[in-house]
Amino acid sequence: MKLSKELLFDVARLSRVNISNEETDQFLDELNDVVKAFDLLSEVDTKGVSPSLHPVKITPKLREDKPEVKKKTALFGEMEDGYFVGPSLK
Amino acid sequence: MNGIVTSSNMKPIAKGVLSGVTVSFKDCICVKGLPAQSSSKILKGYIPSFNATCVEKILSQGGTIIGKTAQDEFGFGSFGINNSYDLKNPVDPTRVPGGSSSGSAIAAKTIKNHLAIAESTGGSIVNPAAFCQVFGACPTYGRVSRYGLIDYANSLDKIGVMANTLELTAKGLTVISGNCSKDSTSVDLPAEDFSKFETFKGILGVPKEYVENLSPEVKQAFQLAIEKLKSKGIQIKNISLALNAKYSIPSYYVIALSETSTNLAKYSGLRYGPQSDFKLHYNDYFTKVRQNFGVEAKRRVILGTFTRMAGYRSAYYIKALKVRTLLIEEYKKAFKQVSAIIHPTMPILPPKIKDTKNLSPIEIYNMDLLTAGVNLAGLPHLTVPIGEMVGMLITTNHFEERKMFSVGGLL
Repeated sequence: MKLSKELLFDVARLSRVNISNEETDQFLDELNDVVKAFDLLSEVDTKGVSPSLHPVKITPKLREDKPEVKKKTALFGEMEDGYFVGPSLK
Repeated sequence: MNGIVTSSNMKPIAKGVLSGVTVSFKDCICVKGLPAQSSSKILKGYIPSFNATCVEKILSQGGTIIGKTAQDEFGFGSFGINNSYDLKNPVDPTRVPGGSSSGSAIAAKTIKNHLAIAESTGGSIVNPAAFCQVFGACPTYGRVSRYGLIDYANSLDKIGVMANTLELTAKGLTVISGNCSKDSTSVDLPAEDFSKFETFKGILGVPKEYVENLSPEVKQAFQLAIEKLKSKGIQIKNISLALNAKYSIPSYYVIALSETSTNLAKYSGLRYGPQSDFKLHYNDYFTKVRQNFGVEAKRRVILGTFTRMAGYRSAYYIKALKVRTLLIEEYKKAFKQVSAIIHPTMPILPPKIKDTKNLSPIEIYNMDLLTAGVNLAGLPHLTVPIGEMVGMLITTNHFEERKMFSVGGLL
């Protein structure tokens, strides 16, 4: 697998990361070196093997759905009328 | 420089096994009232309003907190050069200290009777500990609560310790271990005192693939350590970890970067760090604020987004998780033949600072060859100094930390 410039820009857009024109060529070469190393995984026969999301068995723990942190502490940022302020979505 | 980037003098809340010991925390661990930046500009100005679980445990056992330690940005680095601190190896200042818990290793080496609380995702405790010639212990995944840790990769991150003696390393790991209701991946096991280990009796395995490409200094120190173990009547057996030797690096990096790319999404300039103009559209705002990421963070977010993208997810992310299962199984099979596995912690001496400037990302990632597998498998591991800037890595089966320290006691 080789990343093209177009795919790199698409991934960067999805990642919300800006890459300058000067960075593009260097990034492309470096990332393709890494992806080439990732491609080694295709050699391994994993038919019938389950994925390990964790290295040890984890028993899910759930707590009661009750707020334990004050809103002002949880929303560390700009507040207005008790709400969290952010940029426009329009 | 002693590795500390923010100083404090936080007294303990009770006497305990750490009374008289000074303690530092890697910058990515939250200590109430002290800046926590993970060496990233994107967290500038963030001061946590709470303590990580391990901080509470240290304070309740007599430890005095003297500050936060330098690290590579978000833990992204093997040498301690991915930050703005100009860190040097205390044993040889022309060389790097290792990473990413660079400041922890420097503090453990240079401050008397000091316990450094560090964090490892793929080798970030034992790598700098070996390079700076101190002890470093990383527990089984889930043994120490991650509550209050600024995460890198959730299924790989472990909080551990470094110190100048084996005894303090074992004591420190004992204090911070234990089940925690605030961490959903914390494991519910009875408390154990890792410093009370018995004399080791058993067979040690040396994976042949992990001793093939060592620098002459590392090879010689490792051979001398093996002779020492044999002179104490310990049986050494050659084993193979062929799958781990070949596939632990790609599997580790695919999983780590996939998880990183989602974890770093929370740095959007709303809850933490520098903000931008709220009149901008959300996407432009988000992209502008994230220019505060360093180059390596950008690279890792892009790679991790790619490996999780529709069309590539099965070939990379899911595949890496399946390969991880096989790599864990390979270790489990090895532990049926031997009690613990030993090999050098790093294949080379710490590089000269001037020689690290032109290394490519893949060359740097490959430095994790001897530490990626144990971290991917969540196995407990300990590095013990066996020569100048050389460590031996001791790995045991899950939750066998006490056995790991008993092997360390032989050296």
